[in-house]
Amino acid sequence: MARIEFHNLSKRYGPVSAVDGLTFSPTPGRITGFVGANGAGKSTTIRMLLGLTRPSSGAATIDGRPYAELRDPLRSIGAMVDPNVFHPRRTGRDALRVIARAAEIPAPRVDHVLAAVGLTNAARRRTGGYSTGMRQRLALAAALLGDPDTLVLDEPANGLDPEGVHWLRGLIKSLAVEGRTVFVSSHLLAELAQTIDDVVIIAHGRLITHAPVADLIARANGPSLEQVYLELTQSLTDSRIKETS
Amino acid sequence: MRSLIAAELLKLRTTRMLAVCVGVVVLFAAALPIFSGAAAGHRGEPALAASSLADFLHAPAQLTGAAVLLIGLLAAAGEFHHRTIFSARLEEPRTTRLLAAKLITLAAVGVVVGFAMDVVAAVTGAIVLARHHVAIEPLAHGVPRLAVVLPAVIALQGILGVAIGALLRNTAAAVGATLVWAFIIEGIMPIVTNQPHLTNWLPSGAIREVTSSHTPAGQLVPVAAAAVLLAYAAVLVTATVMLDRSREI
Repeated sequence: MARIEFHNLSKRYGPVSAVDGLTFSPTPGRITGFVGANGAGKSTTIRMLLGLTRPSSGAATIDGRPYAELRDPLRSIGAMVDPNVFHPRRTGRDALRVIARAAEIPAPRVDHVLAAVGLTNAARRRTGGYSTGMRQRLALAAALLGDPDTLVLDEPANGLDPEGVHWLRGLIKSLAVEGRTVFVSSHLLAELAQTIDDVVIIAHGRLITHAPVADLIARANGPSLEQVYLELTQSLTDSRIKETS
Repeated sequence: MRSLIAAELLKLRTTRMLAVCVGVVVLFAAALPIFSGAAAGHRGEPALAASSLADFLHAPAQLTGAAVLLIGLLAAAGEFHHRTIFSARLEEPRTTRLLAAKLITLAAVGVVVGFAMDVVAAVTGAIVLARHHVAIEPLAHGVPRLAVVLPAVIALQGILGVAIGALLRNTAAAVGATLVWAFIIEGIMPIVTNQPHLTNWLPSGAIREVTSSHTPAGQLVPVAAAAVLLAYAAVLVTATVMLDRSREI
């Protein structure tokens, strides 16, 4: 099972620090939520892990190696970074066939993952006509294509209707039951709380905490993950406001 | 690399761009000899001769080259426009291999489309010549040379298209820059520098010289023109590879 590690990872865009010295490692075989406000640095962190963005310093590795050095990346780690990554004139099935062909994944796997995300009936429709929820499902299917034991999902619930969110929760849980590691980012805390085992909270690009959800709630004596999150991030936000004033 | 090339071919096959471009090329290659045959001998147009077969082959080459260049531009820049570059980079994180696969694929597409153009133009041309009772001499008048050189030049145009598209990462900018270069810069440069022969060293001029059957004084011989074209492609590809090392998506 692939082990994801972030070592003192930082990313600066000019004077702005998007990610600031992140060090943590999601526990293999568990669902880890990656939580933070919009602009906290979640997507940048995930993009650095996947080699789509270069770190300013530090490293993000999978089994000790950067993504770019993985021999068979799609079979090691399945990633969903953005639902809008499909050519609008290509059918959903063809979009996955292209990925499968490049990664030498057997063609029957395409229909298998399309069924797994409930897109069999829309498989031969062009993705330009897909709803946001359907594109999310297709992006999830792409992440599952290589049957990886580790999944990295960036805001997978964005744009999903309540039924879609319910379906996604079931899917993530079923993936975890199969023994996969799931690292899922979201700013929708209430939604995530029902799914995850561990949580990594970041604010302003910095790590606030990494702990099992149950321990965190018990330790903070808070009623919910949302309450714990607000308490943990408030002090950092206050100190930021003092720094800038 | 084979799987990446297969994926690139599948990308081209699963959108309409390649089919539309090939359709236009085939139609054009078939129509030109028919129109030339109908116009020959009228209103000052020269009568058909055995050497006309070479002209029939040469006539659609410019459009075919432009079509393959456009396919290359859109295939490379389109990855950024449609954001398919994200999944492409997840499949193959080494950008140089990804670019190499696209270059090889477009070169192969150029060769195939070029030969298709050859065959269609030659067959239609032969029928037109036969109907006008003109001798068909496929092994004379530079026809065999053109049949080989034209697909090679069209393949090079595919490579140039990919390099420009990957360099600019924007379809409108890539198409616009290519049009401005071909129709404005290449026209102005020889005038501004007062070097009329400079035209032959620029991409469009070099393409023209590679396929020309005779070389007047001051013009490039076809081999030198081919080397100039290869140099342009090499510079663009190198620039793209160097820039990709520091650019993010």
